[in-house]
Amino acid sequence: MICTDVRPLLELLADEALDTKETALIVDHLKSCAQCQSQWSQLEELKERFRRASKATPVPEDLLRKIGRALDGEGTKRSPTSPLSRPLLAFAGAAAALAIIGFFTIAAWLQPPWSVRRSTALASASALVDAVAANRSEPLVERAALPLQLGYNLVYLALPDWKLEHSAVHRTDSVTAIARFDFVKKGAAQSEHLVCYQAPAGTIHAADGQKKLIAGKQVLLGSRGNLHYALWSQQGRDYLFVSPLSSGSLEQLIERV
Amino acid sequence: MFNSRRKQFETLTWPLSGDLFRFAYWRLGNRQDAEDVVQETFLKAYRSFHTFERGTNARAWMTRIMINVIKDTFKRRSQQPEVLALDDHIDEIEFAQSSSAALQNPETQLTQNEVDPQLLEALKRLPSALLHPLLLREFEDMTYNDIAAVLDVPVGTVMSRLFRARQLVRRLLSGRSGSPDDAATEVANDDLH
Repeated sequence: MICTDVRPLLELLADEALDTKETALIVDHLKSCAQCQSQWSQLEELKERFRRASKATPVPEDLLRKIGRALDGEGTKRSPTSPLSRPLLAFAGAAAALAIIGFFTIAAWLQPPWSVRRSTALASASALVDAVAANRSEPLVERAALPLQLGYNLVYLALPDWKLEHSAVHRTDSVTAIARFDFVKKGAAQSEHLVCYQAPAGTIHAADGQKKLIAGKQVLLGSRGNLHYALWSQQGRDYLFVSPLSSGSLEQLIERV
Repeated sequence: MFNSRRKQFETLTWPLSGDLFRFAYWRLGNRQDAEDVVQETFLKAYRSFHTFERGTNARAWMTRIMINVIKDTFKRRSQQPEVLALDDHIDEIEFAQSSSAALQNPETQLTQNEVDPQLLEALKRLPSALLHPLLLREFEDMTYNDIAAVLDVPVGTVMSRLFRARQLVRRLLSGRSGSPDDAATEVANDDLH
């Protein structure tokens, strides 16, 4: 082999994409050619730098736990099934139907008719709504400082007609810290306010409410006292809007975010 | 049924989380954005798990989803300059300094990585057409065939892009680079294939 044959193959050698015979031929050439050897060394040096960088990349220890929690939020949503599994599902569904009917006849007496999250979810939407109803406010936190206190990044939504009054962190025992933003409607009476909670997907749980598909989002709508709320997940985050606005107004708001 | 589906998904995809994070980290340049993108990727993959053909390449499938998540995120943010945040009166300077700022502007995305700042600086000057194959090869250890499948380009294009990417990175690391547009010009030529 001569240099012009070897040079284009050095990359392939570095990527272990050559067979044994070609590898042996190139290695032989490198032993006797200083210029190709120099090219090879530069390539090896770069590969080594990437190896070190890859090794030093700080993969978060709790990455899988966070992914798992995000998936928990998906767990109870209706999921599409493959065509192959449909007949089996139909059979299993029919077989299970009788048992389910019996179960829900009893269960309906004991618990709300529908739940958007598993019962093991971390924070209750009701408690968050009650905090708004009781006018309980958490210590104010600068928006820029929120991610540090929360331990996760915020994914913001667009609310052009609303003005942010203050931001805070809502904490309860053994619950992920939840971001709280209080808004007032621009140019409207002070009473038109909106509280937005945000947390990693799967954090906020609502025991009851009406499920509705709004602009592609699976939203749970409900009310407590004179407050209405809407809970949904998008972009890996749970959003809970709480407001004295009507459910219809909340829906319009959610359509646009 | 849910547990079985979830278990299958986890068995197939969870071993890939580290490599996907590495790709995202070097693509975006900081840990927080990488974490968000990886999490979004797993959510999207789980939602469309029914479309995944068993026996095909799960790594390629997940990586394709992640590249789309990154593209969508850039696109979404760049299309919404006037509605960047919950409070629309937000100071732009504050926004640029926020922890998620890297995703707002592709030009400033690779700024917070501390592992190898020089390498990072070199990578951020590569166009994505050169950067993606390089990251897939070096941080996900993908074969040429896998990279070709992920990026939907011929294997020959993968090889030539890798060659150009490395050449350019070496040049940038040694301070011999010309204009940042060089790489874009090179890949534009490459795309004519």
